[in-house]
Amino acid sequence: MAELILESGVHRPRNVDWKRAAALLYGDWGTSKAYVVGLAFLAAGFSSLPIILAVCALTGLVGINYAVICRYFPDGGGVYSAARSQARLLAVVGALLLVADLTVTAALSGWAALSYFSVPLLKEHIVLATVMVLVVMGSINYFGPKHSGTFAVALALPTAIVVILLIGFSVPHLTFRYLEPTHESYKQLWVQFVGVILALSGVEAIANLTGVMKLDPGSTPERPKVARESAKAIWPVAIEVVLGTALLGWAMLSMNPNETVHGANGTHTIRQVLALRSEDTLRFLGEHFGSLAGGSFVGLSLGWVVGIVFFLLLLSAANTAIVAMIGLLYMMARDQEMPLQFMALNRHGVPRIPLLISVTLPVAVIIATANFTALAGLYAIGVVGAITVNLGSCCFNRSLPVRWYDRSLFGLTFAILFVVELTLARTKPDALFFVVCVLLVGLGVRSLTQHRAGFKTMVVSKQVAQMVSPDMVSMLKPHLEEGQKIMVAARGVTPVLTFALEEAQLRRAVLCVLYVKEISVFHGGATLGRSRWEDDPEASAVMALMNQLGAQRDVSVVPVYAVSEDPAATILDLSATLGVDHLIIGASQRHALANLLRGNVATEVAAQLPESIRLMIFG
Amino acid sequence: MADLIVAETGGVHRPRNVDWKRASALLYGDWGTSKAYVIGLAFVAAGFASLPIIIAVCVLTALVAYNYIIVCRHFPDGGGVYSAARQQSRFLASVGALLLVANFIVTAALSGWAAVSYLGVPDQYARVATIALILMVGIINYFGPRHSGSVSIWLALPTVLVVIAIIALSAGYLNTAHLEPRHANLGHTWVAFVGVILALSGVEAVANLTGVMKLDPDSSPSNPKVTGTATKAILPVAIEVVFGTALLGWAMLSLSKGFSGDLMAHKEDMLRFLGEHYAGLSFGPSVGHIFGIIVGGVFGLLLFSAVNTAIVALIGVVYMMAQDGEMPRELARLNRHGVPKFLLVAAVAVPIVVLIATKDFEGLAGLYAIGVVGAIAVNLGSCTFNKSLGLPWYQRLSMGFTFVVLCGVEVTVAKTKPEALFFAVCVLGVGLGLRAYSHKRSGLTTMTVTRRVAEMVSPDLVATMQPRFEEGQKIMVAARGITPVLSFALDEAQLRKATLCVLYVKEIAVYFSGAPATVGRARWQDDPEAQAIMSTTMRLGEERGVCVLPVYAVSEDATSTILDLSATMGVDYLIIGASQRNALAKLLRSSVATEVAQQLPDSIRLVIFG
Repeated sequence: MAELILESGVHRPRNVDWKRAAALLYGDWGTSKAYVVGLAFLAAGFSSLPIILAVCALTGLVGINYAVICRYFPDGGGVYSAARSQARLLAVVGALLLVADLTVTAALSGWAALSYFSVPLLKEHIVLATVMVLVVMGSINYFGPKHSGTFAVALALPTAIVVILLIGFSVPHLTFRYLEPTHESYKQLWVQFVGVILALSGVEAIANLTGVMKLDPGSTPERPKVARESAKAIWPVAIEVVLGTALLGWAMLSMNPNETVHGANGTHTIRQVLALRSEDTLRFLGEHFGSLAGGSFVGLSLGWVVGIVFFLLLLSAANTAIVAMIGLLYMMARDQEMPLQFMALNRHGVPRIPLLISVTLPVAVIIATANFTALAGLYAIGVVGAITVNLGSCCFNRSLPVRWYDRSLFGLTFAILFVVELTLARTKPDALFFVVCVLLVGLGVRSLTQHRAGFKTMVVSKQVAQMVSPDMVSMLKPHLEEGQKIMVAARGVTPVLTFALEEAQLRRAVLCVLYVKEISVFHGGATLGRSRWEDDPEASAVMALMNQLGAQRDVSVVPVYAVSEDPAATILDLSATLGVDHLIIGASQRHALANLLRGNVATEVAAQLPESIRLMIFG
Repeated sequence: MADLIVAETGGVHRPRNVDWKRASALLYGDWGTSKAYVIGLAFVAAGFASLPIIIAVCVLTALVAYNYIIVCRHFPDGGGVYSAARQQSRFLASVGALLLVANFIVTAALSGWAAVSYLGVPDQYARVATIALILMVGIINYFGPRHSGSVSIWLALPTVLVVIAIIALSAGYLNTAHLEPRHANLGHTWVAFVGVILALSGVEAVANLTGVMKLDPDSSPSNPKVTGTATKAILPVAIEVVFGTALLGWAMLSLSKGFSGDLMAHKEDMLRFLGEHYAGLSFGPSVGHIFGIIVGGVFGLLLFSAVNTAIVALIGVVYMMAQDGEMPRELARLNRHGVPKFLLVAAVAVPIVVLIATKDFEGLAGLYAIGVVGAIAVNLGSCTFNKSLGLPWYQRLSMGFTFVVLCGVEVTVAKTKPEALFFAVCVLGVGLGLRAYSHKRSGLTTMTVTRRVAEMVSPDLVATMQPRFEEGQKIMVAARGITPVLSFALDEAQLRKATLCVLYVKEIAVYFSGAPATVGRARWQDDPEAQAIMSTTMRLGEERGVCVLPVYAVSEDATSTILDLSATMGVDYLIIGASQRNALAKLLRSSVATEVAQQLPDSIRLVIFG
């Protein structure tokens, strides 16, 4: 996915259709149910249904917001693009929050994948095993993301089928009998809800993809629209995730908490097993409801199917996170927000340092936390922060032609997520410390990069900012190099010729004296090239004088003579053909100059002359 | 103290009337209070094994003092974190200043709490009493900080005397019999050490004061030096604080272990307890009790004055930022006594909110270090990496080393004190949010450009350059932005050895010619757009040996002003132009070009460039 985020000015082929985009989104959002229901149970046990429903509602709300964002940003609407229109620093902060999120996503998905695979040896040494998995993924990505990137797409359908199967098996057993009222105060409930928010970052990837999405019918590359295409990608996934998570959560809470089950670790009640298997809850649901429907063999088989499918999907989610982080770092490096060394590619076209970082960071985080719940605790602060920055930037960006109800939607979601972020910062000290570290290191590297690249950040008024274009230095460079060509369009022996001679002398330039003989009717068949200035008395007076003055002043004078029915077009043609640096036109007297300015010649020349030729109107 | 920190108006010199004694007393008003709670907190952290921690805090204080003597030497016009970091970037300066704000908020609350404890208020009423005390300080400051500001100066001498008296009384009982080896591993000891670091912010105030400090005998206002004054101000206080804290800490740990309970109970007014105890041992319990009251009274008042200093400094820092456009200008609005009213309310309200939100004295103390250590780290880091500062290698090394140590401290505080990190992040978040809002409202924007462009835009580089009139031609260019016409005009002026008059006409729709704001009084330095054009052209002119004369006019009719000024100044060439070719076409179609062409005297040649 990395390469999909990058380009800004150049148009890349729009070859991602809604199905592929939906599959990519599902690769992240679809995994959420794999651990959200388990974590919700850990947080609130059999009173966790409201929390699960609230998480589903938030997911739906974010989905709606991003469908709108994709409408307004048809050339890429991730947090980096959206916030950059407000401030570069804000964009980098948003991107770094996303880096923090992707770091945890990679680690968490890797861990959850191994939990779902449920091989005892791997589960016993899960920290080491996850590290190994990430290192292997890094090694695979060393050879490029071409093959691994399509893995998520291929897995979308089997996962959806497995989810439907799970729901299908559990439907006959759905009940509210075992639900418990909330044990805690609303404040505690809010904190628990905040703790369960996970796996929202896929939607950021979709927003980034709008620049390569197929266009809506009726829109053009110049006026792109991807509203329908992106909506078609987001809606099915959002509905599947919202309904799927809610139903699976309900299924989990429909089990009799006091029923005993026999497992490899002995006999436990369902309540105990759900707490023990919070990392692979869906697999346990498959085993349980499969057994109820068709006996233990069916249960075991369904458990294995669920385990393997989610194992593969979560592995691919970890891979997607690694690839996305490489892309993000590479994009920032291209934008000179990260060291240029981050753009150095290996022979397979993969940026070496970002690859190293995107494997090392999750590995370091896994080793430092060594606990699934602690790891999950680090997750939300990054992604919620990034989405908040994105929505806030869209909400407060007055130059974005957003309708009032869309702006209100952005504002409302921004406010909710902002409070979620504050709660996370207050209640999850490790997450706050982690994200502050990522931000500080990132901003430090950015500052060093800009220092080394000779950039300086300055605060100026908006008017000054508009004046200070990046090419200001080259624009104001002296244009006094020798060998320039000056063309003067003369209509007689006038002061403009003197001025042109002075200029040529001072600039050591070649002076082309152009005399356009204007005729009312010009036969196209006649030979323009054959006309000679020597045959035109007026022209020869001008040319002879200029040759003489040029010789006196040591200026090389080149006579140019043309016969034309359109002097302005001829002046323009010859200026371009001869490659002059300066074109001087003028009038004999001041009132003649006023007439010249009122007439068409000066305005036409001014309007059509190439920018590289400088025009001087003298009088 | 606010009034002493505020003014950063480049060029304008404020009277240098703060001598080393006054600066020293101001520093002592903060640093001197540290021993009032540092040793108590050290005892809570490590009990009878806390001597190494107390000594480590003393060493760090000494190290910071040495570095700030260097900072004062290199920043004779004010060397607080805001000034030092501003040379690197405005954003960093704001971050440093906000960390200082976080520190002052906690200092006000913490000093207030410690003050009421020393004055004998029971624990259960300490929070309410502190809130009342802060409100009182706010009310006093409503009428201006003139009188309250000097309380700390009067109290410095009695405090020193009290400290010397306690040390003298305890000298006969100093022993190492009850000292214990460290209970925990080095990691835990480091965390305990970090938890005891308090009251370093006074040195920031002294660094801010260098702009109004009396000059060293061998320097002049144009080439100021305050090394001697600053050293004399910092050194005695640093010595008193380092040795005083170490000796008082030792005195505390010379008590037998049977006093553990008492020491724990008196962690907030440890010096009072020590004074009472050792005076009682020497002269009997009644003298001890009276001496305890004296110690409590002196430290209570000193801490009360520290509350005042923190609130005034808090107002000062934010006011300075508002003046610099980094905070909303509304915050700088003054009441009739010259005090920024909104800031005063905030400076009283925020410490009270922090007091209500924190559970106890330790919780409050936990919030302290992250702000001040962060601010000092930003200051020293900015100096270390500021190549234009001309630091000798050993000073840079010392600053770099201290910066690294303080970074380690800051990271540890952030990791081990989640409330402190959350508090600092909140202060930074709100502060940077206000900064963004203020930039937006005042039409400022942040841009990243190459250094060369930055130098061109920087107005103060060439704003002082005087035009050099030469005999010869005069070229006037009418500019409406940094466009190629300026470059062409510079070429022309260079080639023709002419004086280049850069004319900027600020066009206004309605112009009251009768109003006091006359054309003559308008200054290009006050117009950001004109300033950018003039500064850039003057700088380029200087590089190319062209005499550039800025001409600025405010007018409701640009054409006639151009014509008037061309004639009045007797120019030989008038160059007008447009930024882009299509703009030139528009210019030619407009009446400006034709009117100028028609009405310009024949003696002045007109070049329309594009």
